[in-house]
Amino acid sequence: MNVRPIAGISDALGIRASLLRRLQRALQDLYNDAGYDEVIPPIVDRPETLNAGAGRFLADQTLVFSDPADAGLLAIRPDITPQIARIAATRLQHHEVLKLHYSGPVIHARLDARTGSRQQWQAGVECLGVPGCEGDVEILELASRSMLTAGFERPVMMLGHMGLIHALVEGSQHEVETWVSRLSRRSPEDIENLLADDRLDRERGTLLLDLAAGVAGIDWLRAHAHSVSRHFEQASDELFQLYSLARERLHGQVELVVDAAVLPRFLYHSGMVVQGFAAGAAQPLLHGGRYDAMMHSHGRDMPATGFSFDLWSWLDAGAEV
Amino acid sequence: MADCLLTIALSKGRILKQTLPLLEAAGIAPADDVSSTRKLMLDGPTVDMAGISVAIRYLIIRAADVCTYVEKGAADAGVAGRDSLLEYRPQVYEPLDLKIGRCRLCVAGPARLVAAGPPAPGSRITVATKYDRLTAEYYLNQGIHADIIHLYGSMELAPLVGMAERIVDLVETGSTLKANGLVEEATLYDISSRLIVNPASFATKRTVLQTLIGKLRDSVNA
Repeated sequence: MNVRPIAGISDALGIRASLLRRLQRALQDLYNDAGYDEVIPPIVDRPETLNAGAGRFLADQTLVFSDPADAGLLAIRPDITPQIARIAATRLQHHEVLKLHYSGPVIHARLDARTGSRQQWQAGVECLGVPGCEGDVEILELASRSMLTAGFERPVMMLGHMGLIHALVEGSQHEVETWVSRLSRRSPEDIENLLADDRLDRERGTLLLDLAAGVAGIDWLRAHAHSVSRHFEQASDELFQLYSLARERLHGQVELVVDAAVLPRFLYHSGMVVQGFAAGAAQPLLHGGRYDAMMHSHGRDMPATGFSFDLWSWLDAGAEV
Repeated sequence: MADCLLTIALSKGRILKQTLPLLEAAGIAPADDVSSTRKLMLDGPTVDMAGISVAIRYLIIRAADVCTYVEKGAADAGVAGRDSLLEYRPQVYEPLDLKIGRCRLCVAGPARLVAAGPPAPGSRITVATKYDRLTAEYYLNQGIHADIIHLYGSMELAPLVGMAERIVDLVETGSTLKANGLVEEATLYDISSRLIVNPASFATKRTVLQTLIGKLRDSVNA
């Protein structure tokens, strides 16, 4: 029998397993108390479900195999949010508002170079049917309370908006994925190289360089909100409104920072995007945002927003309940 | 007592010599003589950055390890070569090109092989390098199967003893290539050293790191 370990896949034993369950329970209590219902989607789903409106980055992380029983293709989920979109568009299609939480393993097709792993224990919260800022603020509040429940100190929520990125690269001959990939490294020189062979006008180029330089905060946004396009203005207005409301609601719990260069983990977000950080944790603790466009791809037009995180990463970063 | 501790990882060797004048110009040079000490962790000055008292600490480590220390959050920022960033793709920000340590990542080979022209698509060659990923990508994009031999140094020797037909390595002046009868065939990337920053540090120590980036940008442009 071949008992050789599988690259990037491992067992959780003893104290590590019990710590995960304890953290999972504490967070589930938090979400249940906030009026969210638990759902448990299966580990496998159809590839088209997992990749509908989700972009190339997620497809690149999806393990697909043929199912002898069904004679079709199945995929191991790399992310649970698309399954929530499927549930909302099918089995729970008659509910106007859905507030759901989940927690379970996901598998990525490729090793994470930093952790050497391709498994995560994804937990998350999705708020569907609540439009605009109200839904987003509810999600931000739960995200910050999640970090505090897990014992993280001085949480910081970085807020951006995918509409800003889309508006800035509108008219570029490069795909949005290419810009997002370059912006994720925040290297102005790399952006300059991309701009050198692009037809984007100088003003948009300068603003993209600001994003890479990390100076695209709330004051920058106020200064440029009306100078790019109607789409840019609309996204800026949404972000101003969200920032203002979130500051009122989350006052004292968490530091809120607007940064137009905040990017989603996968490319299915179309509105607000958020990354959560805390002192002592080396990488973002959570990712989230608004994904109305993905719901459209699933055949149901409804507002949708949420966040998710990896419980194993949280334990490694010192989460304690 | 400082309000904030800022840890900066510096690459040992040639890059360190070029980094120190930038740190001095920014007023944040290490207190010890870095070239003579054997300490791996050094104190820097305590300075005011946007009204925050910041104690600076330096880690002196191998160039290839700077990315790891910054990605893992053991250092808030660091100085790393673009070659390491491209090869290892750490999850860090790269906000500033320090314009030091300039060189090129090149393909080179024995003069007679290079004179015969680049390998044809569909062919197979053996390449010695420490940049396995970048080399594999480069040849894959040209439809050439590259058998990669990973070496840790002195790449130029591999073609001389018949172990490889090409090398992929950093070239500064080209004198080592010339001394060993090798010539450049192609440039993959222009390389320089960059200031890199841990993403979580950028979020939680934003004001301090923005000030640091500004000071170093002024030093680079001076």
